Amino acid sequence: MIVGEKITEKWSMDQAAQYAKDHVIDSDKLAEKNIFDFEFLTTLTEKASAFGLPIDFAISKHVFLLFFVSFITVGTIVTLVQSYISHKKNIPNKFMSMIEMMVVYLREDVLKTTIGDKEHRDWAPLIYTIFFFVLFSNILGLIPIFDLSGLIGSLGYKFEIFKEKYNFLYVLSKGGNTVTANINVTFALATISFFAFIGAGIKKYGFMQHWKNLAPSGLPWPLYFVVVPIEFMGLFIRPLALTLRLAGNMMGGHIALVIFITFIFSANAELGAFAGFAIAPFSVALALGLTMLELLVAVIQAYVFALLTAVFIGMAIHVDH
Amino acid sequence: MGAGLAVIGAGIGIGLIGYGVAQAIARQPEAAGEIRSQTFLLAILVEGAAILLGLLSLVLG
Repeated sequence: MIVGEKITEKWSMDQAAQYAKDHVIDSDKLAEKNIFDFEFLTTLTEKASAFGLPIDFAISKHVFLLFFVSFITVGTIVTLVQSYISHKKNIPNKFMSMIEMMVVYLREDVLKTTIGDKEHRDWAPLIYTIFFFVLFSNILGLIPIFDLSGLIGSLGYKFEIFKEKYNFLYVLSKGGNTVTANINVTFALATISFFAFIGAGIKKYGFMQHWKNLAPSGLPWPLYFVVVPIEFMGLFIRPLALTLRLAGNMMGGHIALVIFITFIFSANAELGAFAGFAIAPFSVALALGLTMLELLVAVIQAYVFALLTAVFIGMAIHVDH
Repeated sequence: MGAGLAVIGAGIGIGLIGYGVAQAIARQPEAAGEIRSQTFLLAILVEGAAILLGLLSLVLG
């Protein structure tokens, strides 16, 4: 993102925050927002607003990257598993063994211990899908695929297509982002798991009994005035915590990375060119170390999201504890 | 300011969990796997509250 833009001479400390913001939040400018100018999406948005639904159907950079990540996730997993199944010798290759390792670990350590031996097969597809989608989007957010196209553009391969502002490639060359750093995406994921753990309880105990299970039975009756509101609030706090945890972790890491890089420009502007050169190795080393940490966080957060969904489903199924 | 306070709370919480885990594994090395998966869950919950507060301080500040 910073590489793709020409750094002007007047650099101030406020710009650092703006760069960090631009990196993680989708643009508000309408021209940058609508990178694919489809006619029917605009009419769909107008129709929705006529109904009183303020939904924007425009495909912005973040939405495009969401499609991109979903496509890569499904493509990778399906081709690997299909080629493994159809192959006669049944020897998993490198990536297939990695995926197999994760699946077996999730089954043994997460699904069987939290959901239980009997029911875990019903909920396994959901947990695996959540895990692999979050994992792929976290890791693809760390690989600067689209930032590299911006680097090529600024290094002198002046393609005509990069000069034209607000075209599809121009917006993408300003840098990609982590899909899961956007709070809307993680909220959608958390909503899916919210309905999953309500559905798990209803499937096991029936509709009325599930809601009765929320509060433990056998308490003295005045206590129910306290317990029921608390349990009801807890029901909605769970998906909220899931949302904020994933988005906060991803967003925080990327903001810190951008800020570390902008130290160079700040030192350059405030203290002169020599200070900029002197601080660059430290800044890049810090950013490198933080990227390593982010790689770890990317895997852990995917695991955590899958684990917590499994734990909540398990709580709905095994009420007694 | 808010972020700093959030970090203090989470630091104490995760430190206590780490203390308990180290002691538990030292006492019963054969149960290390089970203890570790429980640890993850607890650390996640503590960290979740810290991140919530950190984000709040970012938004309000």
